[in-house]
Amino acid sequence: MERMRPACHRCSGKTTFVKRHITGEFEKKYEPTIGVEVRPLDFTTNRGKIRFYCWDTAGQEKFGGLRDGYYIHGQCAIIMFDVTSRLTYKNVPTWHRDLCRVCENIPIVLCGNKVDVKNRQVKPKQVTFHRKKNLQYYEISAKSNYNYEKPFLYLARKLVGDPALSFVEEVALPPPEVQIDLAEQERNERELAEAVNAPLPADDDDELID
Amino acid sequence: MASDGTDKPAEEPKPTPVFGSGLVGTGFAGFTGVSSTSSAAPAAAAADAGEGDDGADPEEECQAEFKPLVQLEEVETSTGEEDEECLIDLKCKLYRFDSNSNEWKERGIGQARLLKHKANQRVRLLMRQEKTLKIRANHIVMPGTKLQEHAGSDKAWVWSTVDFSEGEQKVELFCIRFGTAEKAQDFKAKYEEAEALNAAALGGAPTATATKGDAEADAEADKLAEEIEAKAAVKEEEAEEEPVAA
Repeated sequence: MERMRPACHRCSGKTTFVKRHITGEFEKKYEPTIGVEVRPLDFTTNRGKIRFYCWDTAGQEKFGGLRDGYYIHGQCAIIMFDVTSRLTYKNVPTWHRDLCRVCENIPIVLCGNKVDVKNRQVKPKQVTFHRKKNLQYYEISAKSNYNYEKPFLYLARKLVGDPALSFVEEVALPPPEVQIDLAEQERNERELAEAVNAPLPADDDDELID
Repeated sequence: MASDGTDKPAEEPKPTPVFGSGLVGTGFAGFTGVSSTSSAAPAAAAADAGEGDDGADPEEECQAEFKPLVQLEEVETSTGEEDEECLIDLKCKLYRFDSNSNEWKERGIGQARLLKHKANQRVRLLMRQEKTLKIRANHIVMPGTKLQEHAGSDKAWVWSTVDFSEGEQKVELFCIRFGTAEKAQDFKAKYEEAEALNAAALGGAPTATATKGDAEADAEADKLAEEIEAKAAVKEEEAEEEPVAA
């Protein structure tokens, strides 16, 4: 339904952020996005289901940015930078200019990602670009999930025109009765023996305090 | 690249070797080396946010007006849990085992519940992502499932199941982790209770080791998938085509 364009400097975490929403995983390995990957991202709201077709764009183009074709028909956008890298923040105006040349007056969220990292290079008070350009700004962490729902919630509210729009429970259909054949079950058990000993991603228990 | 730690007296940033000038080039390679606590992020952000030169909150709601792109009516929402009794409700982190890369990957953080249906007495495990409330696990607690302790943790259980969170059946290995060993034990006790309830409710028909003709099972799964697709399609149409109220 909505076409949106996350754009910005390489490895600011765009793909990780989108994947985090879709599969829940936090991908640590960095594989640069080539060109663009379109990923559907669904949310259930009090006004029904909303699907963002996220055009996850490559960020590596150091000087040229993206060709206009990537922006055409964009209906909203997220510009992401990495608060641990000043250079990524310095590039924000370029991304914004390119985007706005094609997409006039669309809701845009500026995201400072990786705020979980202690020695950040771009402090909140240094982030001022959004003020004069009418962008919403959020500090986020794809790693710790801090504010991670806010960018899409803001965009959904603007696109629907309801400042009180909220995410609601996706309907949980009853799971069907399950049939597994024996061969598959045996494969499972073998894999399970391995999985039981595989380490979990390093995490804190603090986040699990009710 | 001087540190700006001076404006943050409470929490002096500790530069670590991984954050050299190499960060921009290596991206997450540097990022993974940091063991930062998630709870530090909101605290640090909040502390910083209040210290803008003009006292303005950088995350203040943007007042820009946009012409709405779509008209969506408010809809009656359903959790799908209305006819169920909650046996346990605990915050957890869920992981799924990715057999391609042979590693655990995070699936979500949020509330895990065991829900007993009031009519047919069946118990399912339902786990939703916090904030977005997306479904991260949804499966019948299968009698015969063993929750195995995850190596090196008394707070995490591993089991194999057929999950339905994406609306289709998918064999998954899950690992669920709780904040304390006590909660993990509470969960296990309830889970085993649920297995017993289901053994009775399901009449011994489907268990973790039950077999059925592949063709028959496939046909059932296909039929179910079709039904769900049809339902989903209808829902989307409804959402998109609903006329605008005057």
